Formats: sequence, C-alpha cells, structure tokens
Amino acid sequence: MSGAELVEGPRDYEATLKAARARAESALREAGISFSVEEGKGFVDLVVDVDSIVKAAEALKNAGFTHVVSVTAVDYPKKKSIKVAYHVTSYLDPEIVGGIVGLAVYLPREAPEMPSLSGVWVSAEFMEREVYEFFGVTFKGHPDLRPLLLIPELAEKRPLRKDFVVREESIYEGVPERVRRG
Amino acid sequence: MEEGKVYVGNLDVAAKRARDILLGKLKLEKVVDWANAFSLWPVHLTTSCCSTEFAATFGPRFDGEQFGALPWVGPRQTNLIVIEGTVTRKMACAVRVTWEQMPHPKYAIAMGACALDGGLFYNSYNVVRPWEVIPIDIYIPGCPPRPESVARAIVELQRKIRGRRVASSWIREGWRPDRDYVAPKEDYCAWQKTSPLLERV
Amino acid sequence: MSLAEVAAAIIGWPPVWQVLVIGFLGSLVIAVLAVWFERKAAARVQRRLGPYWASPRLGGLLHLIADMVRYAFQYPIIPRTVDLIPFLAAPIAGMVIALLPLAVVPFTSNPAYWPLPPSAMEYSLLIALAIVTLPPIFIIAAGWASNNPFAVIGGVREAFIIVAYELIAILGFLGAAASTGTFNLVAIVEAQGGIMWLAILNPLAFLAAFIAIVMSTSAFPFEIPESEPEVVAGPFTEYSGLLYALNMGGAYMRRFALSIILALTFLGGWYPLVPGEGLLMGYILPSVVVVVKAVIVVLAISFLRAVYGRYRLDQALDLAWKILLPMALAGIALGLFEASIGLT
Repeated sequence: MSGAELVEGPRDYEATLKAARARAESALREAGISFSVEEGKGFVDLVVDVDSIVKAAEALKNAGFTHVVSVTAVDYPKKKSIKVAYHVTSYLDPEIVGGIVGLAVYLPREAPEMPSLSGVWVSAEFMEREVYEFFGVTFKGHPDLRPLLLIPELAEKRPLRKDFVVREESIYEGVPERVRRG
Repeated sequence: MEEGKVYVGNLDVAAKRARDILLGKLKLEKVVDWANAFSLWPVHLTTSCCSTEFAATFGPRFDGEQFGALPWVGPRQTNLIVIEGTVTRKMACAVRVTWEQMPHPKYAIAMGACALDGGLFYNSYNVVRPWEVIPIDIYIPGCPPRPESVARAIVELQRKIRGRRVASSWIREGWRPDRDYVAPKEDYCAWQKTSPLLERV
Repeated sequence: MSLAEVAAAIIGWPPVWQVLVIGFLGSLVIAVLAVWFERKAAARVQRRLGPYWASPRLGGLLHLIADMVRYAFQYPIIPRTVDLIPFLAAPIAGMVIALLPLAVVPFTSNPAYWPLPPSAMEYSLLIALAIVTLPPIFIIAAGWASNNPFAVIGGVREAFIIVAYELIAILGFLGAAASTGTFNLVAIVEAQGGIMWLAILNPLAFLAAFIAIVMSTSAFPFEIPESEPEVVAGPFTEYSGLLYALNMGGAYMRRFALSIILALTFLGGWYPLVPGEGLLMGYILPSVVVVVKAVIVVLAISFLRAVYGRYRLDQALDLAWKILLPMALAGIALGLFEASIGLT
C-alpha cells in the first residue's frame, strides 16, 4: 500500500478505475494467471478460468482489493453459460478507493459449480448464498449454503434465470368472491 | 400442562361462565368495546419500507399516542398488527406466526399499496397479499401512506370496533363472526419443515 | 359481636389496613397515575400530546383505565411449554410480597395505631428491608418458568441487577439508622422533626437509597431486565392479558412500597404534621402526608423515563459497585459523624 492520504470529496472515477485496473492486471500477471478483459462504459471485468479463480482472488486480495461489494451473475441462455462476477474494491487504499474491478468466471449453464471465495473474502458469504438461490450456482466449500431470501420451493425454480417465466396476473385473479364483492 | 397437575376443574367451562356473567348480566359490552378502541397497541413487526412512515406516526410531530395507540414489543401484550408494506413469501410465515401469538380480540391494518394488491411488485413471484395470510380490518392506500393516514386508519378502526361491537361479540362468541375463512398456517409455513435445502451442509 | 364488627376489626387492624387499603387500593390508583404521568411527561418532553382522546378533559387519564380493562378481557395465552404453577404464582406472589413491607412501617407516632408492638417497632426498619429483598426472586421465577430464551435472559439480568442494588439499598437505608442511632422508624422520623430532613443532612445515603430504588424497580436508566430492543419484554415475554398487567403493576407497587420507606427515613415522614390523638389526627392525616410524599417520589422516578437513556448491564454494574457502594458507605460514615457531634 502506498503512503498517500485519503482524499475527501468527489474523485475522478475514470482515473481511479484506470489505477485499479492497472493494479489488478499487474497482480494477476505476477501470479501467472491468464485472463481476458471485458470492458464497457464504467466497468472492467477480468475473466479467468474456474480452476484459477481462488488463486486469482488471493492475488487480488494481496494487491489491496480487500472488500467484495457485490457478487452477481448473468444468465446467457444462447451461449449456454452463466457468468459469475465478484466486484472488488478497497475502502482503505487511497489509490483505488472507489475503483471497482470485476473478477469474473464463465460456468456451464447445466451444472454451474465453482469454488467458494468466502474463504478469501468473508464479505462474499451472503452474496454467494443469493447467487445460489437465484441462479442455482453451487459454491463448493461455502460454510452455509442455504437459500437466503426465498422459500426453498421458489429457490429450486431459480427465478432470475432467463427461462423462468413470471405468471401474468389479472386484476381479479385469485381474489375470493367475498373480497370482490367488497 | 401435564407436569403442573393443577386441579382447577374445567378451565373452559369456568371461563365461559365468567364471560356470560360479565358480558351478559353486567352489560359490560360497551365498556369492553370502548376499552379496546382506546387501547390499540400495535406490535413491532416491520415487513417492509412503510415502517418508516409508521415510526413517524408515533414520533413527536404526528403523535399517534394521542389515540391511545402505543407500539409495544411482544405480540403477547398487544392487540393490533400493522402490515407495513410488501409481504414476501418468506415473511408471510413470520406475519402469520406473530398474528397467531397475539391474544384475541385482535385487529389488523394493511398499510401501503404493496399490502393492498402488490403495488410496485405486482406480478412478482415472491409477493403475497396480506389478506391471504391474516384477516385485515382496515386498508390504507398510498406508497407510502402519510402518517396522517395511519392515524386516520386508527380512528376508523376505533369507530369500527365501537360501531359494530367487534370486541365484545368476539369475546362472547369465542371467534369472530365476520371472519369465516382464514387460510391454514401450513400454506405459508410448510417450507420451514419440509425442505431438504434448508439443512445446514 | 356481629360478623360486620369482626370484619371491621380485621380491616381496621393496622397491618391489614395498611397492606390492603393503603397498599393495594392505593397503589392501584397510584400505578395508574404513575403510568399516565410517565407517558404524559415523555410526551411533553418530546412536544407531543400523549394519550388524550379518550377523555380530553382529564388529559387522557381514561386511556389507562382502557388499557386495564382491555388487558382484563383479553384471552390469557398460557403456552404449553411453561412450568404452570410458578408461571401463575410468580406474578401474584411478587405483587403481594411487594406490598408486605407496608405491614410493618408506622404511619404515625401515636402508639395506638402502630402495626407492630412497641418492642418489635425497635427493629421496624430492618424488618421492612428484609421483606423488600424478597420480590425480585419472583421476577426471576417468572422468567425461568416461562421457558423462553428472552425470558430466561431477562431473569438472569434481573439476578445480576439484584446483586448490584440490594447491598446499596440496605446500606443506603442504614445510613439513616447511623445518623439517628436507631432502627426504629418512628424514632427516625421524629429525629427529623426537630432539625431537618435526613435527605439534606445525609445526602449521600439518600442518593444511594434513591438510585437503588430506581434500579430495583427497573425504572428507566436501569430498565435492563425488560430492555425492549435486546430482550423483548424480559421475564414477562410470555405473559399476556391479566397476568401481564399484574406483572406490570407489581413493579409499580414495589416502587410505591419502597418510596414509602424512603419518605419515612429520609423525607421527614409525617412532618410537618404532628400526629395527635384520635383516628383522624392520629392516623389518617399523617398517613396521607406520608403517601403524598411517596407519590412525589414515584412520579419523580417515572419522570426519569422521559429524560434518560438506558445503561448497558455492564455499565449499570460498574456504576453500582464502583460509585454507589462507596457512596453508601460514605453515607454511613457521614451519619455516624453527624450522630457523634450531636447534629441529629
């Protein structure tokens, strides 16, 4: 970590993101992990293999990315894959505060399974539970992998996958007769 | 009950006899209705974001306590439950359990558009209507409702209790005549027991 | 001797009269008044109205009657898992024993109306303090019999608090005995008639005794056993209906009984009135003066809810052992000093 002071007030997001990205890429390169970069306006995802994700996570943590802001997943039915992304940043390192870098991995859609990163970042534990219940991604080595927000019958249906169809309700559907009468 | 071995005769018969004497012969119906109307203590149960407005209702500016309503801690000591916003499927069980823990006569207010018919979360897979879970007395529209409308709902509930003799008839009959159907608890709480997914790995 | 005369003689016997009429009926009225004052004062501090619309002319006093009637008619839920006999007996026994100190305290200096014979009156302060230590046991029993985690934790907290305040209460009240050189409540009161109230002569002991009363009835800065955000309603979590009202009223009755002892020992008892002969001047008016002083103490304790936050358990124990206990001991020392120089 550098010795610079934390700056109050608004920050230049592009510059921080650039710094954070450079730090993350150099950390992965030093660890000898091959990765590809997906980027768009305001976000950077470093995509690695499933086998090397724990090593990559440890490398990022040692480089100063100490905190997971969110764990999310995207369902790609045509590509038959699910992308799981860990968005990591730091609260304390002045250079990269506010610069969020994604560490992503593509999993097969039929049986998505990956090692849990809650051993590396403790803050990932509950968010991995959410990804588990909404997308059906199994995290091996997770200490307590149960549905968090949904009841189990709903969690088995994986409601945030794209092939889950929400039933359209009409206004009076399911309303008992006595309620309709008022 | 079995360990205690208190020989007090048939408690139900004794309670019914006391009820008949107090309500029938002494004509205490009006007093009971009046007391219930001016002592509506809501239980703390936050289902969703309307609870901020609910808290403001009993804060310094709007002062819901002037109607005799005092938010209280445990369900055992209260007689009013306010559904504060969206009820998700998992929370429905908590709502139902809390409602069942309250001694009757008890009342329910559904607050906010989500509690009326889903509101913002209409067509969602994870939202239930509170009237499916417990019988509701008063609905408050709004997203979220203003504290004034919560106070208004309390006043309307007081009027309903005193006008229709809700409390005294409930005590006399032992159940509430205009609540002919309440869905069984298993509809909302069965997942707690059955699912293998909930077991810790 | 007719039945009515026997009944009148029993009721008129000072211990029975003091427990039943002054204690039970009086403290029912005072409990309603104190709860009303508590809610109203908190509302005033927060610039609210407080309970109002049931009876605007009485300032909402009838809301408290409504609460009592509502509790009386609500279905009393008794969970299947409770230990039935202690569960039912604890609130009733706690309330009755909370009032028992009133059976030994004198309300007048006229020996005809003392509840105890003059020889036993020599130790009336000690007897009253001995009875005062009993009721918390029933709060712990209520929590334990409820078989509910919150209730058990609440009961254990009450046990911690007992250890802290009991010693302070007794040492604080003994400060009055040290100042006057006697355990006789009548003598203690009469010693204050000549010069000054002991609350002013021995403020350390008075403060220790007052704070110990606040702690023992879990009034606000020390409302730790029933702390709402932590343990739902503490030992009374499983109680509903009339039994909960008994529990709630029991705390106020204990507060009232302790306040009467405080009024006698530190606040001058029946002075400025000097009891004379006859029922009215010898008994009724002096007891009214004592009760009025006790009510003022009860209302002062109730007002604390509006202005104080809640101590954590460790902070309360810290305060009790590190500050109040030395203060009570210093109160005894001050009392002995005052007695030696003949101030009292």
